[in-house]
Amino acid sequence: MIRVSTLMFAAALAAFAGEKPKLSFVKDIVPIFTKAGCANSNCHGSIRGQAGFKLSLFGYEPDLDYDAITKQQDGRRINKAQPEKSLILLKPTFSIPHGGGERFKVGSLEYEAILDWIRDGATYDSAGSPRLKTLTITPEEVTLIGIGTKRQLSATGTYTDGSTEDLTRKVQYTANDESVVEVSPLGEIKTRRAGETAIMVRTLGKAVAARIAVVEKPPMANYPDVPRNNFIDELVFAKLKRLNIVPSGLSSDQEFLRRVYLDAIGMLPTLEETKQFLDSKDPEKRAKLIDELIDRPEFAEVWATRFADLFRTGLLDQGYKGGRLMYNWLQKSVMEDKPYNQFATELLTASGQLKFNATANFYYVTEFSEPENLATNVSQVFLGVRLECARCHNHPWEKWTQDDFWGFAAFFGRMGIKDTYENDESQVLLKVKGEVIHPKTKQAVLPKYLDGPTETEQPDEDIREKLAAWITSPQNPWFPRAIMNRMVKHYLGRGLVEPVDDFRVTNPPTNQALLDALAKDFVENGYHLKRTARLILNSRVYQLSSEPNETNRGDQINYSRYSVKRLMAEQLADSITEVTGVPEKYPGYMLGTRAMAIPQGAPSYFLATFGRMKAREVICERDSQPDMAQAMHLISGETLVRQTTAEGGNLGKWMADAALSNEDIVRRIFLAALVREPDRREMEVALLPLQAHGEAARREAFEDVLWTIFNSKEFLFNH
Amino acid sequence: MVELTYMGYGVNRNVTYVMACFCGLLCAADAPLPDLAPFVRSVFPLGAKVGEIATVQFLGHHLDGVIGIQFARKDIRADVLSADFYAVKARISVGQNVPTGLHDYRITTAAGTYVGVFHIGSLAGQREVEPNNDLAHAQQISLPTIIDGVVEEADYDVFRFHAEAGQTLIFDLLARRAGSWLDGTLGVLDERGNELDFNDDYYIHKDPHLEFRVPRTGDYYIRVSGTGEEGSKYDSYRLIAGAVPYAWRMLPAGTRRGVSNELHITGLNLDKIDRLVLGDSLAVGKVTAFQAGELTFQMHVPQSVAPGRYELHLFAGTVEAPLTIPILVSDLDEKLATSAKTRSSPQAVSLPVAVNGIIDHKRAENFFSFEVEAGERVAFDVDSMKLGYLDDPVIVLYTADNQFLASADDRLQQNGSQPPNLDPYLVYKFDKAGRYTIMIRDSAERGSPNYVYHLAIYPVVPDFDLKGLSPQVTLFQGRTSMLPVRVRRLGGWDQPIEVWAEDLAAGVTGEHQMAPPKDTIVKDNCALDRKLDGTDVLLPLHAAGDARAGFRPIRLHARGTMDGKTLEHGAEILYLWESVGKITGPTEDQQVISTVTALPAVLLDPPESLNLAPGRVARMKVRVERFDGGKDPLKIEPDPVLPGVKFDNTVIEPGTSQIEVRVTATGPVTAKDFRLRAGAAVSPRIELQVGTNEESSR
Repeated sequence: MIRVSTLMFAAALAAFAGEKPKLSFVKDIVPIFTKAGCANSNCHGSIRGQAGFKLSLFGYEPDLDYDAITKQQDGRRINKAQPEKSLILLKPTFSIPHGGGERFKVGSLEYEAILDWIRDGATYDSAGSPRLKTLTITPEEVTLIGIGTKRQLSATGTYTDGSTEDLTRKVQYTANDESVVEVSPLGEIKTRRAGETAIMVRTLGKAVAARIAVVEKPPMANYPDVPRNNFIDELVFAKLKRLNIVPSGLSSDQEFLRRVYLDAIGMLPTLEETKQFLDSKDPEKRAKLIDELIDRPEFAEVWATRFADLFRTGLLDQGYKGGRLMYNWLQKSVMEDKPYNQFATELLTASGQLKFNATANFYYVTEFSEPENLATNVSQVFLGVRLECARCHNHPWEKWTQDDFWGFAAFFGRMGIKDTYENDESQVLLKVKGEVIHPKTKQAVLPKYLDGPTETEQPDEDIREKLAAWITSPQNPWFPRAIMNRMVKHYLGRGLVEPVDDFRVTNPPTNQALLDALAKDFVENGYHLKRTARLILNSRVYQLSSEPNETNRGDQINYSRYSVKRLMAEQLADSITEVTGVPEKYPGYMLGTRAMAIPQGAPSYFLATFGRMKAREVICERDSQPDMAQAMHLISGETLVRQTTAEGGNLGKWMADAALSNEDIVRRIFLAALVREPDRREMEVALLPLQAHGEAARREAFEDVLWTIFNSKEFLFNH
Repeated sequence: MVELTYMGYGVNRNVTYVMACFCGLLCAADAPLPDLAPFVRSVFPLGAKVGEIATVQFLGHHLDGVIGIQFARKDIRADVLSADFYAVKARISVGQNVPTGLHDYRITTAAGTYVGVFHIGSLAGQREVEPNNDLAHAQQISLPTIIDGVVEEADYDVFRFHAEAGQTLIFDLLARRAGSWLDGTLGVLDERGNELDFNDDYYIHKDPHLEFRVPRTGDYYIRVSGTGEEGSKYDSYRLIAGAVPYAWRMLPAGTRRGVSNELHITGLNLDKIDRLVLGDSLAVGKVTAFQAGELTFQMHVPQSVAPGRYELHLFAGTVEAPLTIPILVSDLDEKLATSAKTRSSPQAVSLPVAVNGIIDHKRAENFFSFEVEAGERVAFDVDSMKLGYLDDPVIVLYTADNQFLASADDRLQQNGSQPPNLDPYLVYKFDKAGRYTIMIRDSAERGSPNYVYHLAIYPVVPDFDLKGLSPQVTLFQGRTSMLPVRVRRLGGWDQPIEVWAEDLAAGVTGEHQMAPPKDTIVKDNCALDRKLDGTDVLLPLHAAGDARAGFRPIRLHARGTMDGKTLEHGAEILYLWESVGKITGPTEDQQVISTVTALPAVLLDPPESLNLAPGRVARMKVRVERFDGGKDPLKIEPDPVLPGVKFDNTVIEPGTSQIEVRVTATGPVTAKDFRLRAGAAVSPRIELQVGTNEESSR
C-alpha cells in the first residue's frame, strides 16, 4: 500500500522535478506524515505521542510539528550536516529500529522530499504563506452499480490565497465500512457488496467525506408504486428506489397496535383497548389512535425518560429530590408540548436552588460541574456534536480544535454552586465574575460559538442567554437535526446519524434529505416534538411490517422495514406488570408506580440489568445490547418469579371467573402480552399440562404460559 | 471569656451546653455533664382546632415526671394524662379566640424544661386511618379539612376526595414548619393512578404545597409520603386540604405603624375574604376591593404595636383561613417599587424608607437612588426569605456613576447546624455626601412574580443586640453549666461587648464574659469555615452544692462602650422549634428558665426495646455514665426479674462507658416492660418484645 502511494506521490512531485522549487513544510512535508500514518492517533499523533515524538493529529498544527521535528530532543531528529542521517528519515525507512515499522522506502519520493527539505535548511514556511482553507471531494455522493465496480475520487484543496491544488494523491482515505467498498491510498474505490458507507478524506487538519452507495443490479424495471402518507415516506422510498430496495408490506393491525403503544406510551394496550381497535372498521383508526396516544400522559413519560437519560436525571449529585423534580419538569414540558427551543433555553439559562428550581438540576450533574464538562454535555445533548476530544487535542475526525472547545466552555465560566438552606441543598448560580483558562496558553478564553465568532458579556447580562439564542436559532443547523435524529432513532430504531450524538462531516446521515426535511418542518412549525412524533407514527415507513423481503433483507439503515427493537428496561418492566396485573414496587415510589414514571435514581436491579442509564458524569447513550444477566433474570430472576407466581393479579381474577374457560384464559394471556390470539399449536401446547395433570395443575400451567411468553423474543422485542 | 468554635449545637435543642473542651479553667475538674432536660421529638396530632379539646401524645425522652405543660397563651390549657420516660399524653383545651398558627408550650420536669410548638387550625379535622397505603385502600375525605397523620418508613397515606371542575384546591402539608421531623411529599392522582401533580419541597424548610386546578368533576386522590419513602413513628403532619384561601404574596410586605396602610394580597380563593387581623387582634384590616385574584385592604396599625414580624389572619365572616401571611410592622415609610427602576433610571427614595418590590423576571435588577450626608452610616436590611419567599436576594451598592462600593449576600449560610438566613444586611459608612444607588437582585438571577422583597434603608448608629440561644438551662448542684448566647454588632459597632446573666437563683453564680468584635467561625459539614451572624459566647453558671432545687427565670444582659457612649440591652430569647434544628425564632414567653437539680450518681441508657427470640442471644448495648467517682464495679440486673431470661456480661467496670449485655431466653418468655438497675440507678423502661430477630436495636 505504501509502495503504491509512494509511486503516485513521486509522480505528483515529478512535475516539479526540473524546477526544484523550495518545498513548503506545511504543504509538502506535513501531508507526508499524515498520509504515511505517522500522525494518526494510534501513532505519533496520539495525545502523548509515541516514543517521545509527538506530532499533531493529522497535521492539524504544523507549527507544533515543525518544532517537534527540528527543535525537540536538541534538534537531533534532523541532521543538516548529513541530511540522510536524520532520524526523521532513518526511522520511517526502518533503517534503524522503528516501532512503527517501514512507512516509506529510501529513495521514495516521500524520502526524497524530506531529504530535499532538510538540505534546503529545514525551514518553516515564511509568514503569511498560504494555508489550506477548504478541502472538497468529488463526487460527494454516488451510487455505484455492481460488485467490483471502480470509481476514482478526487480531492481539491483551496488555500487562503485563493489558489487551488489537486490533493488527490496527498490526502489520506479511510472507508467507514470496508466491507462495502475498499479505497486505495490514491483514492480509487472498488465496491465489495451492496450497502452504504462513507469515505473519510483528511489532510492538514481538514476532513471531508464522500458518501458511497452500492447496489448489485441496475434499477428494477417493475419497481412497485408504494403508497405514501407524508414526506417521510416520499424521501425514504425515493432513496429505497435508487437502491433497488422494495419496502416491506404494511404491518397488520395487531402488529401496529402493539408497536405503537410501546413506542408512543411505553406500555401495552389493555384487552379492552385491543378489542376496540381491532373491531373498528374506521379507515382512519390508526391516525386517530396515534392522536389519542400522543395526548396521554404516558407519552410524556416516555420522552421524559429519554431526556432523563441525557440529563442523567436523578443520578449523581441531584439525588432523589432533584431527580424527581427534574423528571416532573421534563414530563410536564413534553405533555404541554413546550416548543423545544424554549425547552432548551430554559435548561441552558437555568439557575437556582436544586430542590425548588427543576431546571437548575441540568447544571448539577456533579457538585463540581466544570465549564468544560458543561460544554461537552451541552454540545452533545443539544447539537449532537461530540466536542470531548477537543478538550485535550484537536478533534481527530472533525474540524473542532482545542480553541473551539475552550471557547465554547467559556460560555459557562460564571457558573457556580453555593450551599443554601440545609445541609444537602445547593444552588446553581452565576458568579459575579468567572473565566475559563485555556490549558495550553494559560490565558483566559473569550466565549466563542462553534464555527462562529467570539462573544463578550455585557454588564447586567447572562451570556448563557446569548448562547441559548445561538443554539436555538433557526439558522443553527445542528439543533433541530440533533433532536430529529433522536426521535427517528426512538421510533424507527436507528438514527439517521449513528451514534445519535456524533454529527460530523465524516459521519454523514444515511438520508440527508430526510434529516433536512424533518428539521425544516420542525423549525417552521414551532419546534413541537408532538408534531414530529405524529408525522413519524403516521408515516407508512413507521407502519411497515418488520418482515424482510428479498430486496431489503440486508438493509439495516434505510428504514425499508420496521426495525425490531429490544424493549427499553422500563417498557419491559411495565409490560410484564400490565400483563400480570401484579404491581411492582420501586424504592421511593408507591406500589404500582410504573417504571417509566420514575426518574433514573430509583434503584432497581431489573431496570439496571436491562439497560437503564448508569451514573456517569459525561453523557452517553443507553446500552441496548443483550447479555447473560438479562437472560438469567428472565429465566429465574426474582422479578419474573414474583410477577408470574404472585397471588391475585389478572391470572387470579381470570381463574376465579367461572365464565372463562381455560382456552379463554390462554387467549387473554396472548392478547395481553402479544396483542394476538394463540394459534392452534400454541393453544395445544399451553393446555397440555392441564390435560396431563388436571385442574390441580391449572395455576401452574398458566404461570408456565406467562413465563414462556415473557421469555419469548416476540414479547421482548417491539416488532 | 469562652468563645465558641465548634461543630455546632442544635442537634439536641434545649440541651444543657456541657463544657467539654471549652470550659478549661472554669471547670477543669468536671466530667461532661448529662443532658437530662426533657426533649420532645414528635407531637401527634401536631395541632388542634380552635375551641377543641384534643388528646395529644408527645414522644421524646426524659419526659417522665412531667410537672406540667404550660402554653404561652393562657387560653390554651394542657392537662397531663400520663407520662413516662419516652412519652407524655395530655389533654389540650384550645380557647375560642386563639388565633390560628403556631403556639409555644413548655414541658417542665424536675431536670429542666423544653419549649416546642403546637399548631392551632381553623378547619374541622380528622385523623388518618391505616391501612391507606394505596389507591385501593384510600381513605375517603370531604374537603375542606385538616388531616393529622404520621408517615412511617415506606408509608403512603392516600386520601380519596371528590372535587368539582374548575375548583382550585390547596394542599398544604405542615410538618417541618410545625416542628415535625417529616420531610414530606404530596401527590395528586387521578382515578387511574396517574400522578397529576407532585411536590416535594415548596417551603424552604422542605414542606410541600400543591395548588390543583380540578380539570373535571370526579374523584381524585391526595397522597402524603416521606421523601424517598423516609419516615418514622415521629414523623407527624397536618394536611390542609380544600378550596381554601392561599396568599402567594403581599405588597407591601410591611406596614407603618400609626398610619393607615393600603395592602394588596395576590393568591387563590381570596374572593370571600372580608377581614384581616394583625396578630392577636392588634389591628383589623378591611377589604376595599377584590379583582382578578388580588385583594386590596386598608389597615391602620396602632402606634402601640411594637415593630417586628407578625402574622396576618384572613377571615371570611367568622371563618378563618387556615394559613396566615407574615407581615412586618415598622416605623418606616413603606414604599412600593415602581416599574422605573433600572440602572440608568433608578427609583429615587428618601431615607429612611422601606421599598417593597418583586424580582419579577429572570435577571431582574431593581435600582434605588438616595442621598446621604458625609459620614452617614446607613443600613440596607432585606427581608424576603424570612417572610417565606423563595428568592435569594443580593444587594450591591454603587456610586451615582455606577462604581461598585460594596455588596452583601447571605447573612448566614447554612453550615451544618445553624439555621440559615439568606437575607442580606449591609451597613455602609459614606465618606462623601451625595447620591448613591442600591441594587437588589436574586443571587441566581432568577425571577418570579412571588419573589417579594422588603428593603429597609435607614441611618444607623453603632449598636448591638443580644440573643439567648436556649430558652432553658439545667444547673446541676456543685457543677458549672453553660448557657449559649449570641451578640450581633449592628451599624458598625467594633468594640467588645460584655454579657452576663442575672436574677439567678440563690446559690447560683454566673460569670461575665466578653464577646470580641469578630463573628464566630464554625466548621460546616465539609470542614469549611463558616462565619456566623454574630459572636457566640457561653455563659458559665455555677450552682453551689447546696443550691436549692427548683426553677427560676433568669435574665440576660449585654453592655458595651463605643465612642464614649455606653449601651446596655436585654436579650431576645430564641429557640429551635424544629426538632431537626433548622428553624429558629423568638419564643412566645421570652423566658430562660433555669432549673437547679441534683446530678445523679449513675445514669443507665439502654435501648428503648429488646427483641428476644427463644434460643437466640440478644445483645443489648447500655450506655453508662458515672458521676459518683466510684471505683467499684457495678452489676446490672433486670427489674423486675424476668423468669426464663438470662442476663450475661452484666458487670460495669469503673471507667466503662458502654456495656453489651447478652440476653438469652432460656424458657418461654412473656412480652413485658422492664428496667435495668445498677445500685440505686434505674434505667428508663425497656419494652421486651418476643420475636424472631436475633438482635435488639435502638
